[in-house]
Amino acid sequence: MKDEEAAEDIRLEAALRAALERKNPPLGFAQRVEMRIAGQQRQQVRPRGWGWLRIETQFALAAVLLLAFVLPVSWRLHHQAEVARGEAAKQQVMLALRITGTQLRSIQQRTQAIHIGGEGETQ
Amino acid sequence: MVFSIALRIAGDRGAAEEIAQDVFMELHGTLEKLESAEHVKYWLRKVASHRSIDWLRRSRGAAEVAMDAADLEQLGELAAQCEPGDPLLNRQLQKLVASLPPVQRSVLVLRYQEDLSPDEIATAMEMPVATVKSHLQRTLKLLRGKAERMFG
Repeated sequence: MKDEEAAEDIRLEAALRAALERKNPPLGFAQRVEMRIAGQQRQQVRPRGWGWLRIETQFALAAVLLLAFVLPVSWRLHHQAEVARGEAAKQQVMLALRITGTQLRSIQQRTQAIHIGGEGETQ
Repeated sequence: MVFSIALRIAGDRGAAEEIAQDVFMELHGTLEKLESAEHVKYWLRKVASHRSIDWLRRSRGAAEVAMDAADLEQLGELAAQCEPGDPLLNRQLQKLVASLPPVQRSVLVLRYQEDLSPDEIATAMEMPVATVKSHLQRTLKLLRGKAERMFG
């Protein structure tokens, strides 16, 4: 019985070896693998960062970034400078007014003194 | 070798090509770590088997082949009448192999297609040699049993 089983196993193994013979890959298989490898290599050599984007896209992105971030900041700085300039001008006007006021008062006091002195002499 | 392993295990030509391409892509990235042509062969067999089993498990049902009573009857008749290598017997045996669970199927493919020893299969499949031998014996017994049933 054991011998029969062993003989049948040998026969079955031979049949399995024949049935499971290697099959060749379909035509063009190697070329397709080469193409995929080449594609992968192209992807790997793409520069890091934003370099892989087309130049037009890079310009468009730069413009959007400029509009979105740089211009508002620049406008705000410009506005702040204007306000500061306005404030300085106002201070200068106020100072000029103060000086003018002081001078006017001084002139008025001198005029009054001369006037009072003149009246005394007449009497 | 790689395509054939994938085809026998996955049982689908399209999937086999996809698996084989993936294996070669992986090889391209791993080639520096492999030391010799033998090592490359071993690596290819191992990765092809594992990727095919993974694919089979993912798409279980789609690639599963069921042997019906008519198939078994025909296999029994063919096994009795035909010599090993007969196209009809081959077809039925391939169908029978395709009806086995993924790991058993892989062990059988590595043993009879790639002519690996149980030790080599154990290394490639990352399992004990005793398990490989047990899988082979069980598979042969199953095949013998299926054939015997037909002889009555």
